[in-house]
Amino acid sequence: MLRPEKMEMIRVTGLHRDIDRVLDLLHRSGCVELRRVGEDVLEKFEMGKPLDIFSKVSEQLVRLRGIESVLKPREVEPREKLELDEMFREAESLGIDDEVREIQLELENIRERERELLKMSEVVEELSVLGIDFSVLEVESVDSIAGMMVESEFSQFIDALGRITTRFDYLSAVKKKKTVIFLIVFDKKLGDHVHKLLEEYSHSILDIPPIKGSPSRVKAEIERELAELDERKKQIDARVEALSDKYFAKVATLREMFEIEAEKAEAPMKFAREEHIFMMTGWIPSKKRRWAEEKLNEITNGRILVEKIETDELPPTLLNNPRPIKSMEFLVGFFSWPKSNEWDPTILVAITFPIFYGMMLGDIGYALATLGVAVLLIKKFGEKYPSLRYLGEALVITSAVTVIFGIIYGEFFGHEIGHPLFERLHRVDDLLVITILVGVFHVSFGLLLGIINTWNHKEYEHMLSKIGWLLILYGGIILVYQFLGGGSLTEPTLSNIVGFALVGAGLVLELKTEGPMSIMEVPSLASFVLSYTRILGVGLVSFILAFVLNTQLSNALATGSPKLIALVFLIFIVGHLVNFLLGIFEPFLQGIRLHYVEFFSKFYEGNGILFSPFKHISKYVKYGEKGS
Amino acid sequence: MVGELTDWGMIAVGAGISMAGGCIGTGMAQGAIGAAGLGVVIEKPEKIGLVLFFMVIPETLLIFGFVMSLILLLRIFG
Repeated sequence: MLRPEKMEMIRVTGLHRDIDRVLDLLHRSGCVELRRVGEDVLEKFEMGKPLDIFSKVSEQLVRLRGIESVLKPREVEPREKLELDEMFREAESLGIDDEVREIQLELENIRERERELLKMSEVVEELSVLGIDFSVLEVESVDSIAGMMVESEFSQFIDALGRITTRFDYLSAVKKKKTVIFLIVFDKKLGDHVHKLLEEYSHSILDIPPIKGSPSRVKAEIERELAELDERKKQIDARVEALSDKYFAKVATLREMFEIEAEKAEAPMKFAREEHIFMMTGWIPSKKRRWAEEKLNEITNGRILVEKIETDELPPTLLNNPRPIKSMEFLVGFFSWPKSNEWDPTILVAITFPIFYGMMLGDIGYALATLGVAVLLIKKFGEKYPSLRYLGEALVITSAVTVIFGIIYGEFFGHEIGHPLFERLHRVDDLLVITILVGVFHVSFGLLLGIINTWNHKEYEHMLSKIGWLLILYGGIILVYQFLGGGSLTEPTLSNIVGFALVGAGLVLELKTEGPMSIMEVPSLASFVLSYTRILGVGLVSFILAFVLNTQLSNALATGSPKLIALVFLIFIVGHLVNFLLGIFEPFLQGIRLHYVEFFSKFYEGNGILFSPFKHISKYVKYGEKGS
Repeated sequence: MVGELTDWGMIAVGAGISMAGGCIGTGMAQGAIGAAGLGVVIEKPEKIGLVLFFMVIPETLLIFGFVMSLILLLRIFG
């Protein structure tokens, strides 16, 4: 739990005739992350190529994806994966390609025509201010242009055109923002001149619709055709629905089966090959190696060699947390995944994060409301969006801890209830000390983990530096405690001597290991610890806001004025809703920040890359390891 | 009528200034970091955790202001 899974790099060498079975076993079990074979291997071997079946599989895959994109999704009962020849047989016997293509084409044509008609309708709407019948424009010897232009430019354009010819006429109407809608009719022979002149002025052209009649008639014609298209779409939709009922499940499952086969068939591109043998490398969890070796020997009748190889490359990270803690992994990943050779802080975050959250929110009412949101996230969206399920699960844990703190503080939606063990509004000074102590514990625990980490990595200088910070921290605490208690720091008491000795030893270690500039960092150590007082601050803000809302409602009720009560009640509801949302958001953000900034900075490197196994995440097909 | 500024009043004003100073400082720093951070998140959404990390660092100033105002209001140093 505290460390990611131990990984080993393996090299598997086998015969080409066994490659299908090897790939199938590894793909089903998902225990290996395939890596491209090293350059040293490629000096003696050729680079691998996809399996021969790959092109046929991809062809089917493209075809099935095309069909599926037209069909409408249906509930699919997952089914067992078929053998390759059965898959091809079933795929080829579908026999709906022509119909799907026809539907696709027809839909495309309808959409294209709809776009044209809608554009035409917009133009007719614009030109309707000119009040002309479009059929008058259909005279062979004249041409016409309709468009929009700025009013002042339009008059200049007409003047300029008048200087060229008199064989033209125009209609115009001012639209909003001093834009003119115009229609010019001119002798066809002058077309080039008019167009050339028009280019000198900024304008936009409106395509005159090829429909005869007045604008209202044209609009009616357009609407009639649109309704016709709509009817055709409905008919096609009915055909698609019928096809989907009958074929979606088959197409979707087959598509997924071909995806699985395509993944397997292209995997050998990372392998090395010779005439008769192939060689692959990959990362495998240490605990799985023996199992994989035995299985591979079993399916190939011993015609395979599995070797563990030494490498300087850092393995990918495979986290190893049990179920309830797993839901907190995203909090670590949100920052950065751990490297495979360092601490996995998930379990530590899973313990301290809910405590910080609970200490901040600490209200039974808000905790139960948060629990409701969490359950909703899991039930409604959990299946579709795993990240929301994890968030929901994390909120369940945090709200459970918040209920405990709510009982300790005796708070229910800002009301003080029962006989609280700790009334935080009245014991701010005590809570200040408690939060600082929480900070001391958390920061020193981080430093301790850092010391162990650096020891494991044989980075002894960094280890001494972290020990130095720990000494300064505890020496400083002794001296601050002495000072706040009214004691003198100049007298040679035991606490003063121990305090100064610890701080002095810590400073010497810092100077030796990190240099003189490290002294500048001493105040930041204090800021790390004081940062935990935000637990007090955020908690008080939430409580006081709720308290003020409750008091205002009580005061309003005392006045007996219905209008005032209604108004204050509205403010009360909105206020509590806002406070509730802040109550989820703020403790979450501030709680995780305390981990990222104050805690992780003491020991955590991150930037790890997660283990990405060679496997398929099935949706519609029952496909998994056999006998793992 | 203007009342006399008592010791308690001076303490309350001091606590307010302390809190306001922390807030303004944090706001100025977070404004700049947030603007740059958003640019990063648009380019690389997976970096949001790291951006958040940098974004929240200046809150230390606010915490100093908060602690100082608590020290004043609770009269920790008498």
